[in-house]
Amino acid sequence: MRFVKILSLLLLASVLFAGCATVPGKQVDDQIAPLMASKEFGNQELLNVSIKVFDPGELPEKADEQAGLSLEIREAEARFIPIHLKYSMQRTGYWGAVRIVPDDDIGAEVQVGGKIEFSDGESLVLTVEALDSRNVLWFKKTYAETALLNEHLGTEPEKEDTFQDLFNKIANDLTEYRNRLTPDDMLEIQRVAELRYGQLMAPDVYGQYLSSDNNNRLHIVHLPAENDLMMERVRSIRSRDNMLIDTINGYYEAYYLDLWEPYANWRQFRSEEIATMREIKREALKRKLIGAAAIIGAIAVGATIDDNSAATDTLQQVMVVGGAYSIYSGFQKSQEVTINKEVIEELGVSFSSEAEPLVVEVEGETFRLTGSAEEQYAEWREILKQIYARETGLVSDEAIPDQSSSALP
Amino acid sequence: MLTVNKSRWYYLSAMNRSGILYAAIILLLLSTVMGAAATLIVSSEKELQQSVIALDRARHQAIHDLAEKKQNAALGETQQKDYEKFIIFLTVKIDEYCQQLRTEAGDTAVENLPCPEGSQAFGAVQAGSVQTSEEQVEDLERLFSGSLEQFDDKLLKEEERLSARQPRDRESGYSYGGSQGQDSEGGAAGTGQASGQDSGSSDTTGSEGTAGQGQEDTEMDSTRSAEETGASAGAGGEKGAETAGAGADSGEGAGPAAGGSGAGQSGGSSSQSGNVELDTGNDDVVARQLREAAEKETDPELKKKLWEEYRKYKAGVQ
Repeated sequence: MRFVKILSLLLLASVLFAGCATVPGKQVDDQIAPLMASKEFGNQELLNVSIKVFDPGELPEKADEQAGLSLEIREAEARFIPIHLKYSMQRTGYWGAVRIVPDDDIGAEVQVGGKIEFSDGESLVLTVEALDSRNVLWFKKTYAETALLNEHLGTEPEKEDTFQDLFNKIANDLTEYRNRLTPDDMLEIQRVAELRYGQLMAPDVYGQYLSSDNNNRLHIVHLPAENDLMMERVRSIRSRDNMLIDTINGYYEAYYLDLWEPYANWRQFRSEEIATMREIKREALKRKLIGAAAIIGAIAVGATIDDNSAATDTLQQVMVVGGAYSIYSGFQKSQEVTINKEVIEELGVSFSSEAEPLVVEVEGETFRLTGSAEEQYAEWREILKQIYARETGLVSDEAIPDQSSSALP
Repeated sequence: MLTVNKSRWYYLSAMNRSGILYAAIILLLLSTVMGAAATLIVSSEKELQQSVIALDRARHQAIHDLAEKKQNAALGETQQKDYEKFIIFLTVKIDEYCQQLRTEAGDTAVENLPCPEGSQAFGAVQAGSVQTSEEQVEDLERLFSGSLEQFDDKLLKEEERLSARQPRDRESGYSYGGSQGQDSEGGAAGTGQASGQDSGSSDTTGSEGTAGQGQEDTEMDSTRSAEETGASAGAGGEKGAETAGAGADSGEGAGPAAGGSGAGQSGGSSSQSGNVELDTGNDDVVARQLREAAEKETDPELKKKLWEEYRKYKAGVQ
């Protein structure tokens, strides 16, 4: 009897946990509300944020988990996700301009980067890192969410995503760190960002205005004068740089809206198929286990009951036959999963083919804009250098360090 | 006496006739030469224009290829730099030809060409007259301001281009389940229409949202750093200036090429233009890219231009 009880418990556990997804990372809570600012902040209290296009990460290694996924989908998500994070952050009222940048932004006050650790439409796992212009790391955390089927409904572009809890959690963490900063911290961050940009555009002028300690943390050595003409020029360039990034963001936003529907559909339908597959597998396993239990039970009956009556024999035979049939039925049931797998693959192929040209287009536009802007920035740097040389009577023989590719979007 | 005068008259007449004949021949020759020169000038202008078009096509194709390869992660760092170097080379070349056209034939010669707006090379500021440092700084300031204004114009054009962008027509291939406003029974066309309409309105909202957001963002920026000089004022217009984008390519040039990325269609032809045997063994990255662009170009005129550019580049390098 004890044996039968243990077996029953094992059976129950197997059925319950069969097919559960193993998603890395700690799940965010459900129904996370975003922290919203209760007042309007002055500009000195608003930090601008640059969110870098995410690292698409790698696909799962297991063939089963990889089914229906592709690098094209990941590349599409690597842009979609930061854009939605941008919308989530903007609504809170705690931030200045929140922009998507294709690469590291030297002049950023706060830069957020991320990597997609896992994404299959049903679950999303991101590692997000935030640091400010002083190179102070705010945090680096991994966020995970497995969406319920009903969370795929009622979504809305820019406002409510299937994984909105995850986005709200990231936004809230950023807000909480931001709220711990003092006004002096914020001012320092803004000034350092400006000086970094100044170093980029006029290194001869601002090369010595910042120092770096052993932790690579930047400190202000001295500030430009209130009426520093060169800084005025740098600010003129910086504002145009921001406008350029705004234009690039226009393309990202158009991309986001174009991708919204097919992406939402892909996630929803894929989740439904996965859920169905899971159910089928659970049912198949249940049948197999019941069958096995019946056979074991038949053996137990034979072992425990000494009576060799026909009834006992019949009972044993029924249990064995029934058990065998149940096991067979379980295997048959397993085969149904094949159909779902094919559907999942088709969904993946279909979505990939839709997403890929959108990514190519937005990347093409981004590169076109940044590529041509780089020439302009190089010209401006040279003009500023010439102006500085004539204003001061100093002529620097050092070549301007090639920071364009690392600094400009 | 009479006889002698007559002879002299006949002699003078004959001289006049010959002179007139000679003068006519010379005039005829002169007009032919001048006509040829005029034709040469016109041909030269036309050739420059064709060169600009050919180089611009090659540039768009290179940009598209680079974006695609980056997206497929099929590009090493060195290769990426090669592409970028090639694109910059083409842009500089286009700018050079455009400047030449403007100088030789005026602004009308560059209409409908993907030329950057007339920009004065800053080096020209230093040429010629002897100036004091202050005067030079003033000139550089003027150049700088002018350059900022031109950039603002480009940003404005980019904003217009972005606003004019049509949302994609999506055929939602998912024909079952779905509660995302999908017509589960509808065919692709019907669903596509609905998608198009929805995405059209979304796009409008998005564009307005973008413009508004950009305006808000830039307002925050310009309010905070109140010292920023004349960005939106220079560009003219509020929303457009504040959310305009840049681009060395003009809207006309960029649009068709971007919209139809097959503009620079790779025809797969690898025939070389001309009878000159080309030594391709020591091609650097720019030469190689030029050669490949020429090989892929399907338009014979543009193909010829690209081969010319390749030869010129090789000659310059050697």
